[in-house]
Amino acid sequence: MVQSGIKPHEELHDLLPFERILAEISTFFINLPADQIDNEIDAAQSRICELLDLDRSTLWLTSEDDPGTLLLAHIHQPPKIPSTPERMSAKDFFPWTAQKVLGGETLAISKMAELPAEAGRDRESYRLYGTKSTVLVPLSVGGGKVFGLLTFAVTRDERDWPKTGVQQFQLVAQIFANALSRKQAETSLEERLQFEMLLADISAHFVNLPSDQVDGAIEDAQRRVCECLGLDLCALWQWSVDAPGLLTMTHIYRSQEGPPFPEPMDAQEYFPWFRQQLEADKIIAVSSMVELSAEAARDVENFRYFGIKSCLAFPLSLGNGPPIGVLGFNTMRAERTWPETIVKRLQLVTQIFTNALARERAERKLVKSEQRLRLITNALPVLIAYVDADLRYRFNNDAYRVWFGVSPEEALGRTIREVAGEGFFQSVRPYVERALSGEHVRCALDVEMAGGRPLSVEAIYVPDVDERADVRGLYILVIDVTDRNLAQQESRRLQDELLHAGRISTMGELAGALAHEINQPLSAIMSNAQAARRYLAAATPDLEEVKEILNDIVKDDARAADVIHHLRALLKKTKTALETLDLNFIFREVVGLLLSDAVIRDVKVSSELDPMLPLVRGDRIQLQQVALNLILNAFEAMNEQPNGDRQVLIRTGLKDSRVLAAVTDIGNGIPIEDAEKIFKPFYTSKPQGLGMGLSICRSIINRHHGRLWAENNPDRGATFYFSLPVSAEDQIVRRE
Amino acid sequence: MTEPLPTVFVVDDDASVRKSLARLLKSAGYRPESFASAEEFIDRWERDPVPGCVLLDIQMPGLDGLQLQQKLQTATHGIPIIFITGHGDIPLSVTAMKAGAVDFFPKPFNDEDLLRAIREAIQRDVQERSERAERAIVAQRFETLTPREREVMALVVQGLLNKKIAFALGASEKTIKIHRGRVMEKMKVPSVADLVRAAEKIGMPPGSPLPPHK
Repeated sequence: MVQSGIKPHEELHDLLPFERILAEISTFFINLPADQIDNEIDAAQSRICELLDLDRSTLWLTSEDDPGTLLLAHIHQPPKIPSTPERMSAKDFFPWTAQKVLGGETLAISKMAELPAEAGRDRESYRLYGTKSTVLVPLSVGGGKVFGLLTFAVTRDERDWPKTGVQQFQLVAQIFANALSRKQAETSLEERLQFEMLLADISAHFVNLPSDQVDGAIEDAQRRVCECLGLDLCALWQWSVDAPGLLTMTHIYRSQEGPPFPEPMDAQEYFPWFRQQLEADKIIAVSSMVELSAEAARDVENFRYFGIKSCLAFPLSLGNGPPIGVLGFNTMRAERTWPETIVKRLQLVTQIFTNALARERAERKLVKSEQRLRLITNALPVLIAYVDADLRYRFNNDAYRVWFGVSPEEALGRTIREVAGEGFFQSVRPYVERALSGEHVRCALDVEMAGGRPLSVEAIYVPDVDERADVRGLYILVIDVTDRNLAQQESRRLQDELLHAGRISTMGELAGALAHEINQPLSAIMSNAQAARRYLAAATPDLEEVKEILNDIVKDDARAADVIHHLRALLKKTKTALETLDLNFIFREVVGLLLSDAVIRDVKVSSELDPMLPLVRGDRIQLQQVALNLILNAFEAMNEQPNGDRQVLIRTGLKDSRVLAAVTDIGNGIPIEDAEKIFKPFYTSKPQGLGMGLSICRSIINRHHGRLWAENNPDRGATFYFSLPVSAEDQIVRRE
Repeated sequence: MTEPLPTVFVVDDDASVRKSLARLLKSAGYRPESFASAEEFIDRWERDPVPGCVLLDIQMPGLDGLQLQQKLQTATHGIPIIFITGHGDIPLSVTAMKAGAVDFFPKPFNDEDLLRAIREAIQRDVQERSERAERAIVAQRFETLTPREREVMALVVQGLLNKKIAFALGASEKTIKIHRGRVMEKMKVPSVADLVRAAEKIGMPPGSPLPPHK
């Protein structure tokens, strides 16, 4: 075969088989399936090199990212000659050549000496790769943009490149260019189609995805994207909230083994330059680690360690505030370019992931804040709820369990009427309806619980109004103030006790004032009457004077009646304040108050109080008055007795389901004919008595649904009894 | 010419009571004068402290009875007071009696009891007035004595003889005799016994220590 140089006589001889190869290639490539094109290009390069005794044929494609970078796509060369790099910066190594060829010119360089002075850098590079003579043909389709170049080179000697030969190389380049462009169109179309479908699918899948499925969906999408684009590793990292610069990997897909990533990873330590860029919300596309500048030396070192050859990293940006994480797409088997179209689409994927994660975070936060709210509201001893416009519970606190025996979960979706019962619902209904009309309602009311138990509550209903002023629901707060009322009563009771002595003396003063008021007219009547008697006894009675006196007597009589009338009205006006009372306690208290009185009067007071006495319901002060009156009456009934023979016995007990109290003296007893009269107003056996005491006592006991009566004892003295109904509360307790 | 009727002052804030009491007093032959408040009565009394007694309600607005009682005792030579009260308050009545009330009546009262008490009170007033008048006369006479005569009188009422008096005062018996005669004359007493009585009236009790010997 041809050993050195191309001899004129050999040209034809050589050209003919070349023509034949060209014809074969050209027909063969026309209908060649896209996936066989690469192989056939390799094969054609080999045949041509063998036929023409060439040492090397290369086919370079310009990088999509950087047209100044050439990527080696096909090569035919024997093993012993210096190999070319897989990617090469044309500007750095072959600036002059690249400018010409990528500008559309075919270069045929027979010997390096032909190169102009400005191609010094090129000459050096040719020498580096052992090229002595070469032809370089641009690759383009139909005179369009140059997207690569096809070279043929000789390393052993220099060679002339006849014009026809160069033309034939151009033809080969044309065939290759067409085929490659067809392949690229086909594959990129298919890839794009697949990728677009994948994207559509992913974005559809993430719409309305429940937050608990987000994690799985992200990893699934990572896998599908990687498989579709031939990527080896896709990792989603999230920035730590409390420790700046710390990344935690939450989602990963990898097809290749490799060193494990630290958990969490200090971005500053491993990828300081990347961290800086990503935190500044920048997208980083690295086709090859060599592209990275010295600033990123640390990053490059670590990419190498983790076996990553190319990388596309997106910040996870929410638009407001700093990015929440990083999504990295990587190759490990080979480098790859990141065309704009891919970057745009993967950015979309990143956005989908970010939104899903943000939603998940927000929901988690919501769940947490709801849990917190629930914890707080459950600890409160008040009803807290939210109902919708149909009065169905949408939120309840745990107090519903205590009040209505319904857990918050059970109450959910049920109406107030169903949960709280008909009685309760009817009590609150008017207020609820007012609130539903948009009014902020606050009320105090007595409600009826299931089983008829009464309860005093304070309720607040706050309407939840939407932007169209429609009431969507109500916030409800109900406080049980029964206990508070009881506590108030208790504190009032304690206060009463302190004031009690004072109150008794006030009663004494009142009695004194009353006696004075009645004594004035009485005294006037008396003096008038006596004066009249004297006038009438005179020898010549002054009848005019006596008449005047009688008029005055009538006036004063009316005045005394007025005082009594007024007093009765006053007594009637006194409001009964009901509470649950222990009658034993009342008697003990009154006996304590009368202790000094008993000593002065030399009365021995003894009591037999039933320790199991049920409680009664009544007005404390009034029942105290009754006890006080009965005991004082007993004392006074024995005024005539000799000293040392004065005894009062107080007894309490349960009789015929009623609480019975008895005050017994050993005085003269009640005259039989007076047995009922004694309870009439103004009946008195005492010289200073007003005759009101027993009458008032009876009306008090009657008002308490009880009975007051008196009996003479079989031996001597009298006993005053009163009976009262057992309080409802005590009945319940006892039944239990 | 008859004795002027004794005056009974009625002090009570209740008009009915005042009126009825006045009537009763009039029917019993007294001259009643009624006042609605203690102040009014004091005004009246200070202008003309006629003989009589006071019926005083112990519970009245303004000055109450006990305050009035104290005031009357300092402002006047005292007028007998009978307390009347709407209700018998034992501690109050004890205080009143201790402070010199003649009697104490819870309303309403029996006319006989009240009139008896008034009678007694008026008698007491008459007596006290005459005693007071007597005391005033004696005191007036005592004022006319010279210091020396007073010294002599003090020793005479102690029952000392002239000789002893002369020795005690460092004077001659004759001089003492002259002083003594002047004392009897100025005090208008006929006997030593009368002089002793007069000395008692002005609070010069028998046995009072001798003035220091110079």
